[in-house]
Amino acid sequence: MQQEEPNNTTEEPADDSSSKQDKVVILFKAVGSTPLLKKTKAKINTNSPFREVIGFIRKQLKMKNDQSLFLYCNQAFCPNPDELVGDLYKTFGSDKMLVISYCNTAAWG
Amino acid sequence: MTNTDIIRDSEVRRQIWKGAIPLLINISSHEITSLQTPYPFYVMIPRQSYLPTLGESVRNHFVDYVSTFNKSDLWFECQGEVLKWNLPVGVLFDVHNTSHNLPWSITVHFNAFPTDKIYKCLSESDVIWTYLNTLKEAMYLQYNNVNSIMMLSKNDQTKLWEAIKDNKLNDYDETKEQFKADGTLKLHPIRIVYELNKEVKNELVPLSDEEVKAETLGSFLQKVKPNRDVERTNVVVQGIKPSLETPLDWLIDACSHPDQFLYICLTNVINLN
Repeated sequence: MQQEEPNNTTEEPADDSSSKQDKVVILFKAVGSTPLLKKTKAKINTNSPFREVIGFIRKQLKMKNDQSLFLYCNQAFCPNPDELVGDLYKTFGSDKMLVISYCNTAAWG
Repeated sequence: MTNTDIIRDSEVRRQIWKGAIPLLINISSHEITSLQTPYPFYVMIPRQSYLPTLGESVRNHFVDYVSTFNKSDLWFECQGEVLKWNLPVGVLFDVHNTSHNLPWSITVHFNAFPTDKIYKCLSESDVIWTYLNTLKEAMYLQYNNVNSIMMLSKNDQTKLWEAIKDNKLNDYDETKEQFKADGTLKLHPIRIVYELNKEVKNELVPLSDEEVKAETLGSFLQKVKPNRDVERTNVVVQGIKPSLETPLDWLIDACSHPDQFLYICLTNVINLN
């Protein structure tokens, strides 16, 4: 049975037409007095850890390292930086996108 | 299931909660700036606990032997791989210590923090916050609602955390009663953890209640990781190699971690896709 197994790499990010499917659209919503992003949507690779999303917002908002930032998924919990964007989208996404709220204070604990 | 089966299940959970790992912690030799070499630091840590709980005592043990010292720069490594402190110690042990040598030998660093791999844990409150958020994620999967965690009093949060740190299952269960949610259970929080290309992956693979009741551990893995090398890959849950015939719902009841996730560790992984 092992030998029948071809080295299946179809799930790997491909370099051509299928690469579109390997990205997730994230919709960002500001909460409270948090500054607004210029672009409220971003496409992020499914294989990227959530850490990259945090880094993206920090960069966009030109935040310093000591400024706090909280990112919430569905206004419920802060995903771990380690979590894969693709996993979050599969489980918590809706309408073909993942909604992430960002806030400079702990809005939902 | 008969009554005796149920009693036995809770006994399994009790045994799992008693599990602890003997750790031998050394400091990386090129970080030692004193003439003397420090003794290693030995400690027992509960499987359900988290590495940053050791931060203070490890720091105190090695403080005299290093020159540059930033309190937040402490991190742990095992054979060249960064240990992700957001995962329970037992999960890290199952994934990294595939040779099962005891005590488990790990290295502490006070320099060159790997910011691309992990976040800094500035104090114990950071790890508590991370734990509570993982718990919220689990509750959101289960009931689509995290209100019961949000309503948890500061005292109960502390009690919950102390229970995890000190292996107190009764205290944990008592607090759990406080945040028990109503409604039908939607998804069971399950993660598959494995090491591939020198990095530990932590995949979220939740499953509906119906599916959980129908699957065994083996049939579930066949579904989510059909291309794993069945002969080669080991399946470890809470330090145990369960039979692949084990019903998944039993495993969730008996072997979930205090953050409500069932962590299924795969070791000896070459390729999963």
